[in-house]
Amino acid sequence: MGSRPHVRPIGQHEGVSERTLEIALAITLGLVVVTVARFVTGSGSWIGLSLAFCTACFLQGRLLSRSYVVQIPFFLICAIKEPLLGLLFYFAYATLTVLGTKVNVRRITILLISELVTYVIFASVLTRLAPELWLFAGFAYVSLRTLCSSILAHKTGMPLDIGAISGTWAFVSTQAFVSTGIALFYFEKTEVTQPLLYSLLGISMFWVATVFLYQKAHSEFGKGVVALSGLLNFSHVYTGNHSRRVAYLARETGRRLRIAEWKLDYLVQAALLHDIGKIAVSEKILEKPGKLTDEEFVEIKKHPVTGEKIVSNLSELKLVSHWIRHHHERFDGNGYPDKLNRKRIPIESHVISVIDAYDAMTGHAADGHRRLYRDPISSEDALAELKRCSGTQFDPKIVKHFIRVINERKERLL
Amino acid sequence: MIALGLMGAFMMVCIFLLVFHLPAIRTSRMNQIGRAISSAVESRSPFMDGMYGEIAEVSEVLSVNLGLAQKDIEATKVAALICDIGLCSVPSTILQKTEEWSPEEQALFDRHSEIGASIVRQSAILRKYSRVIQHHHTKFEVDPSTPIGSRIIGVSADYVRYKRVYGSSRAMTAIERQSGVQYDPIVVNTLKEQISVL
Repeated sequence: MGSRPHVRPIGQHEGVSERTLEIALAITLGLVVVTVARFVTGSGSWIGLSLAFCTACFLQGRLLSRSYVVQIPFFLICAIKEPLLGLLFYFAYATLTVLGTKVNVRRITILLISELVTYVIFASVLTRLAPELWLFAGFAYVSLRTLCSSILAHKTGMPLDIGAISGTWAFVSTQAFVSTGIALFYFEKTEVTQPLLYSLLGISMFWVATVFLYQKAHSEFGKGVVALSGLLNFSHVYTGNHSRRVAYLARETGRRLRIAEWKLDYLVQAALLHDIGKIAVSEKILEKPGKLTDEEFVEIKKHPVTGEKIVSNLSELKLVSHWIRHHHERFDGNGYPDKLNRKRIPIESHVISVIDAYDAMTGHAADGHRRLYRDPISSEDALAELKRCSGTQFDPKIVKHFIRVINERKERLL
Repeated sequence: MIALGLMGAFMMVCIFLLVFHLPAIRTSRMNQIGRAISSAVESRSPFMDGMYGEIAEVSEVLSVNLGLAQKDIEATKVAALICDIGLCSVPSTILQKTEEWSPEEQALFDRHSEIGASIVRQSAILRKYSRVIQHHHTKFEVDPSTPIGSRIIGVSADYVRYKRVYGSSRAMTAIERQSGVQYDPIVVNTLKEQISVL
């Protein structure tokens, strides 16, 4: 190996120059719009304020996502001081966002209501303790939440940005707006100094920009994961398409099993990457038509561990690498690599293992590269086989839910 | 007044997050993706274990000493990690072979930079590395205008590969012999100057 004493380890030293322009744009967008509106309207009336907000929303809607335009009524109504109507519009907006992104409506509603209630309690406590701080209630709240979620992320492996909890970044970024809005209603009777109000709005824009950019970094990471899972496609064609089909079914099955919403994103990534370890298995073994010898089986049985090793390079996907390690464990404890049984197998790994088996049995008529050693069987036969193996190879509960998912999909197709 | 001061402090925190933290997490995430890809490629053959980490380190030292901008140094590091991504579609029987390759096998292996570039082009975030990967084995005398990143990676990849078999000094001699033919002489000279720290 030789000695290399003075070389910095990679990743320790990170650059600063990337995307400076983009960030500068986001900052100026928030601050300039508000300042300009203040100059135009002179006194800084409520109308000027609402104009500033609308312009900002519109710009953001153009720049970030069209759904932002929906917020305009909310802020307009805020501007004419109708708190109740404003809240109503906010809920309408949130519902629209939720419907548009197909996230679990019930969960999001609960999340929203609890969010608002917590915020109001937080704000009132803060203003009792330190009345002069009321302007910061919104930010203190968002900052505290971010702090909590980062601690949570560290302890449980939850995603760091709150956006992933609800599945939509728009939801999070509206929180900054909404907390500001509520602060305005709630403390309307307090004396408001105009400059403070404007800088408050400026900061809330700032916060939105921050969340947006973080979210963007997150989606880039997701694309990287997809690229990584695609690698398998280049060494073994069958396996690559297989991963994609498993990922497709994993989310639905996971949702039925009431796996937490934030975990579902990870579950999909785990499903995409679950066979990545097979990249180390020689194509001679994987595409062998006949029966495999013992040594060849040993070689194949290494793939969950190899997969774990590959994915463990991604610090954000700690949970995923853990699930990948156990996706060949069996309910009765005869699986590999760790011979876990029953409740000791992570449920996510087991979901992947059930779908994996189903997909391996049915194959897929479209991809042309079936597993050569077995003819594909029909979906009904595969489900019957899963049922037969539940209790020994599979967890009966997961099989039950998975069968329901498949049947529902068929009904939808009919 | 207190309120204004606090507001200012909050602004500072935001600016700090946007300007320093965000680019940092972006590069470290890119780096992690690169590491994961390299470990996937490495897992195909026992001879490659841990190789791309070393190549990335050598490339970093070279690009720092060649005076590249910080952004390009980071990009070169990631490109060095994923430079042999095309080996995914080279059969692992070839990669694991200990004896000499036949001409057909050699030809199959030589296509890996071309294949790697086409793999990388399919991903929106890796696309920017495609030119570097495509040319990382291009001969300097054939085309001296390849990107600087691929010239650096060409030298560091071969240096690490030789070093693992023959040791550092013989690897350096082998690289020097090809200077101007296979490798860019400027990069080779930088490697020679920095050999003591590697």
